[in-house]
Parts: sequence; C-alpha cells; structure tokens
Amino acid sequence: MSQPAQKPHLRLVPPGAEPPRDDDAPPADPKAAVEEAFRRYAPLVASLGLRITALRDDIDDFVQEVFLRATKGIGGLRHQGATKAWLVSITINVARQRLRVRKLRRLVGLDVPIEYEELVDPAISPEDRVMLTRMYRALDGMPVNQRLAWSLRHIEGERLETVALLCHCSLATAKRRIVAAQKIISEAVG
Amino acid sequence: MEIESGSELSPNAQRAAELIRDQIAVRWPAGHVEIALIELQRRRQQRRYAAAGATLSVGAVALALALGFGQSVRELVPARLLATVAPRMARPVAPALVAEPRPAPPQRAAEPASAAPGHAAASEAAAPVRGHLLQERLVPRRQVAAARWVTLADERRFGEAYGLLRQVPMKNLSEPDDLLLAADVARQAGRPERAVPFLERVVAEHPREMCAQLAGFSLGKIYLDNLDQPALAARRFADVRAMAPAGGLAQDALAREVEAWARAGETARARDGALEYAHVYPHGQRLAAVRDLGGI
Repeated sequence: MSQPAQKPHLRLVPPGAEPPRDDDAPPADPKAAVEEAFRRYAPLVASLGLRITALRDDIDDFVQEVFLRATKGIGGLRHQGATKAWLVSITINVARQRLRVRKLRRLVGLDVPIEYEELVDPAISPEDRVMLTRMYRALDGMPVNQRLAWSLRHIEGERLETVALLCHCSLATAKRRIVAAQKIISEAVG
Repeated sequence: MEIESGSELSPNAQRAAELIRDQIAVRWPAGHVEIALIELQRRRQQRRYAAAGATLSVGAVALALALGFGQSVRELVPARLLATVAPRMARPVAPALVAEPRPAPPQRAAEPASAAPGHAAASEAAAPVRGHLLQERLVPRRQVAAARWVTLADERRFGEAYGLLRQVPMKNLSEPDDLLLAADVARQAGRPERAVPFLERVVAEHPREMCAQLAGFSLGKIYLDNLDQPALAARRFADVRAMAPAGGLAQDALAREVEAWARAGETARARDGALEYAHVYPHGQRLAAVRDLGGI
C-alpha cells in the first residue's frame, strides 16, 4: 500500500517558460552562472563554512571569498551539474586557509576567542553546550588537515572517498587523519 | 590501520557531532542573497581594477575628492570606478552590507537583464536598512529543521528530510512549491498518506494556479494507488479536468478517472467517462485501455 514512488513528480511549466537546464553543458555566461550558484548554494556554503570553522563573525566574508574564487574558475567548469561539488571543494579550501590563519594569529596572540555556545540555539541544555564547546576546542587544538578530515567525515557525513578528494590526499592519508583527530576528540569529550 | 574500528565515535563525540550538524545552520532570506550578490559584484570589480593596475588612479581620484573637486571628478571618472574608491559619494544611500529591518525581496521579475540596472534596483531595495548583512542568522532548532529539510530533499535524502519536515509546523508552509515539495518528500519517504494534507492545501488555497492541477492529480493517484479509495480518486481526477479542461493533464486525468470508477464498481460512470474519452481524444494513447475499462 505504501510503495514509494521511483522518482519525484514532474513539475508543470507554464507555456513559454525557459527550457530545462542542461546540466551536462558548460555554463554559457560565467557571470550569470556564478550569480545563480550564489542564490542556490550560498546557504550551503555558509552553513558548511560555519560548522567547520565556527568563525561566526567572518562568515559573510567567508562566503564572499568562496564565490570570488568561483568567479575565476566557473568558466572552466565543464558540467553545470558539478557546480555544487565544486563549490564544496572551494569551501573546504577557503576553510583550510582561514583555519591556518587563525592558528597563526593565535600563535602570535592576536586571536579573538570564539564563544562557541553562541553558535547554537540558546534553548539547548547546558550539558550539550559544554560538550559543544569542548568539541570545538579539541578541533582547534589539532592540525587543520586532521580537523577538516574529521569534520567532513563525522559532521558532514561524507564518504571516505569524498573526504580524501576534498582534502587533496590519498584515502589512506584521510583515514590516518580521521583516526588521529578521533584520538584527540576522545580525550577531550570522553 | 583499520579505519572503521579506529574512528568509531564515542557516545559523547557522536552527540557533539550531531549537535553541530543539526544546530548550526545559516539561513539566507531571499532579500539578503540579493544584497550579498551586490557585495560580491562590488568585490569582483575591485579585484579586477586592482589587477589592471588601477590602484594609482583610484588613489588620485580619492585625493581629488578629498580636496573638494568631487563634482568634477564625478563628471570625469566612470561611475563604476568611482564606486570602488568612494562608494558613499557614488551611492550615498545604498550600503552593501545590511540587515535590520530585513528588506523585502526585490521584485526580480521586474529587473532588467543587464547588470547595472539590476544593481540599481537591488540597491534601492537595500537602501532603508542598516546594520550587518547576516546578523543573527543562527536560528532555533525548529527553524533549522525548516531550512534544512529542503536542502535534504534537494539532495534526495528523503527519509532524513521527512524526519525534519515533521518538526515544521504546517502553518509555516504556505507557498505552493513548498507544499508540493513537502508532499514529494512524504511520498518518497514511503508515507504517501502524509502527502495528502499538503496536496489538499495546494488545491484548496491555490485553486487557480497550475500547481493545483498537479496536486489534484497526485491526490487522485495516491487515493487510487496507495489508499485504495477509488471513488475519492475519481472525484479528484474529475476536479483536475474541471480546473483546466484543455490542460496538459486533462487527458490523463480522464483516463485515470475511468480507471478509478471501474475499480470503485461504478460501471455506469466508468462507461460515461470512456465514451467521453473516445469522443474527445479519438487518437488518445490510452484509448484501448479506457475502452476496456469502460466496457465500450
């Protein structure tokens, strides 16, 4: 009785509407393609960036940086259907850079402490807040590449192959980084 | 090193990861996206000018402005270049980064296709607001669910999307597209009966829009195929035809109506429907099946 349909509904399109987009084609107008990608994926980029870096105050700038980099490369994108994965890849690169800069700033005493508890709904329990803070402090304390690999695997739920791809490393290296990060996290949050 | 055993999360770590995943999200209302796009374009221009070695010229313009030759400079320097060095003078009432109170979404349909007029329209929309662009976008769990179920649906993760959709109050969904998507999510998650309220709302609240036909047709299919209520299904298919007798779904709706009446045991109605189908669509793709179902 409750059999799931095999594919989603077709949507009605008014007469004269634009034909469906060919996702296998490269973008015809790079500028328009970036704007469309921005409208569609800016929330995804912002959320992903915020979860990975926790740099709440810089998130506007973060998103702008991702799409500025996208502006340069979108003309070379061969398939529009790959835009999302490509933007995620840029997001990870920008996150890596930002996290490294932050580590450097911390090293020279210029870093501004982040109130991790402010990242979440004030209504969540105090225990959860403490756990969240410990988690982010543990992530702050580990090498950036380990942090990225662990976050992609366990927060974003990516497959190991995807983690390796996004981290520009081999599968074995990605696994090693995740395991190393896991040890630090286990010590921090129990 | 075996990854699966070595990286298994402790309960605490698992909980913390879930907290981050479920609680931390950024919502971008449509109006903010437009404003952020303007900022993106502005930055793009800035980088282009910088790369072209315009920095010295910009400095000269800034100096001229500072010395009080503003009017002359405006006449001599292209507006776009002026905007990079002295945005306040070039665009005195349109800050690029803003938030409270939130601007109404720009009327995109009315915007011209070219970039410059689009700028102007969006800048005007942004004009009355002040503050930080994405200020306080961190939202409570229920709102996170409201924002995330759509993303999950786009990613075809229907089971998870449906889990979050159940946390979203029905009254928060009002747009027909959202209601149709919610119905799709419920159906794809294997709960077609849960799609019915969403589809009924589309039909009831947006009867004149094309999506109402789609919703009505989907309702008919669910009643017929999933809920075993053929009479109800037949009425829904008849409604679809009534909404748009010459619409794209009319022929299929009539054929399905005949099928539904036949399954409901209403042979007379099935026959009437079949005769009508044969008359209106003498070369219809479903003619043979309809004749068979209607007994003609």
